[in-house]
Amino acid sequence: MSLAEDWLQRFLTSQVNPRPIALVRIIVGLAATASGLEILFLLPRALDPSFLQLPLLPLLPRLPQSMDPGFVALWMVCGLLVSAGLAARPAALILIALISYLLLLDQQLYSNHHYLLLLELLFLALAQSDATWSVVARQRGQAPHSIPGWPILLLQFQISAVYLFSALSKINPAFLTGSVLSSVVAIPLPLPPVVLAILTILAEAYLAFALWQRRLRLSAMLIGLGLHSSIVVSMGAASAFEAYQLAVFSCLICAPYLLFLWNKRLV
Amino acid sequence: LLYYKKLSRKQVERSMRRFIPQATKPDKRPWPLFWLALFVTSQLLLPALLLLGPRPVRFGWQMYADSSLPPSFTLRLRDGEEHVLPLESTVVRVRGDMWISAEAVARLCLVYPEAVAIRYTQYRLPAQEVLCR
Repeated sequence: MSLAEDWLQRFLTSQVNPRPIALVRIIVGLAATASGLEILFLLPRALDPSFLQLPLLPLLPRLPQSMDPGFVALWMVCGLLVSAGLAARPAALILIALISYLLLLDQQLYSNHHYLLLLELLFLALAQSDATWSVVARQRGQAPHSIPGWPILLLQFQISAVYLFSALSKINPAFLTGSVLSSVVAIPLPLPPVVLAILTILAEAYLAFALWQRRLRLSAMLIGLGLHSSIVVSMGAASAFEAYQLAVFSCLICAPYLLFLWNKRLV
Repeated sequence: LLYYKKLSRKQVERSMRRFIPQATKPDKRPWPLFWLALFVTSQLLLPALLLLGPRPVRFGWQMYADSSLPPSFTLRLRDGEEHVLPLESTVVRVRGDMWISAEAVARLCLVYPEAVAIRYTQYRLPAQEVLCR
C-alpha cells in the first residue's frame, strides 16, 4: 500500500476522543455569539443606501433595514445553541447561511474572522461535536467513546493553512520593511518594525508546522497565544471595536489548539 | 482450540474476533473525500493562487499583508467648490481589499444631488472621476 493510500485509509477510519472537539464547539459558539455584536454595528450601515455599496454578488437581495435586529438575534441565538450543544448541527448550518449572506452581500462586510468562523462551524457540523458535553448528550444519558476523526483533522489542517498563507502573504517589501506594522500598530513598538515584521512571519510559519510536532507543540501554543494577545493589545489600542474584533478572531484561531494538544487517535 | 474442541477454522475466527480490535468502517455518510477535495481546493490551491496576484485579497488569508491607503471621495459642486466626504459616514468599513467600481460611486450621486462629479482614489491607483447627471 502506498503512503498516500495508507494516509487516506487512516483519514477515513480514524476515531478520536469526542471531548476536545466538544470544548472547541463551546468556545466557537460563544465567539460566534460575541461576533453578533459586530454585525449589530455593521449591517445597518451596509443596508443604508447613503453608504457606499460594493456588492460581491449583485443579484443577492438586500434585507430591508427593519430586519437588522432579527438577523442579529437569529445569529446570536444560533451561536448560543451551538455552544450549548442543543440542535447544534441545524444551528451551525443556519449560522453558516447567515455568514455566507454577509460575505456575499458587500465587500466591506468581508472579514477573515467571519470566514474562519464559517469554516469552523462547517467542521463542527460535520464532526459529531455535540456527542459529549452538550445538552443533547445529557438528555441521551450517554456519550460515545469515540467519534470519526476526519472532520477534526480537517479543522486542524485549516488552522495550519491560515498560519501558512498568512506568513507567505507577508513576504513582500511593504511588510518586510516594517511599514505595514508601523501603520497598523497603535502603541510604541518595543523593537524596530523590521525586526518585528520578520519575527511575525517566522512565528506564523512556525505555528503552521510546529503544532503537529509533539516536541514543539507546547512552544508553538505559547507563541500563538503570545502572538494573538500582542495583536489585540497593539492593534486594538486605537479603538475598542477593533480590539473586540481581534479578540474574537484570537478565540477562533486559538480554540482548535486543543485538538492538537489532546487528540489521541483511538484507531 | 482447534485440537481440543474440534472447532472449524471459521468458528475459531468468530470466537476470537471480540479480542482483536477491528478497523472502523470508513464514515461514508457525509462524504469525507468530497470535503477533503473541497478543502484542498479552497484552502490550499486557491490561497496559493491568490499569492501570485496583488495583495491584499479576500479568501486568501492575507491579513495585514501589505500597506493600503484608505480610499477618498471628493464632491465637485456646481459652483466649482470641492468638498471631501468623511470616510466614517461614506464607507461601511475601510478595508484594503475592496474594489471600488465607478458604478458604486455613481450611486453616491443620488445621495449628494448637489454634486456634479465625484472624484475618488483607491489603493495605488490614480484618481478617477464620475460625472453625476
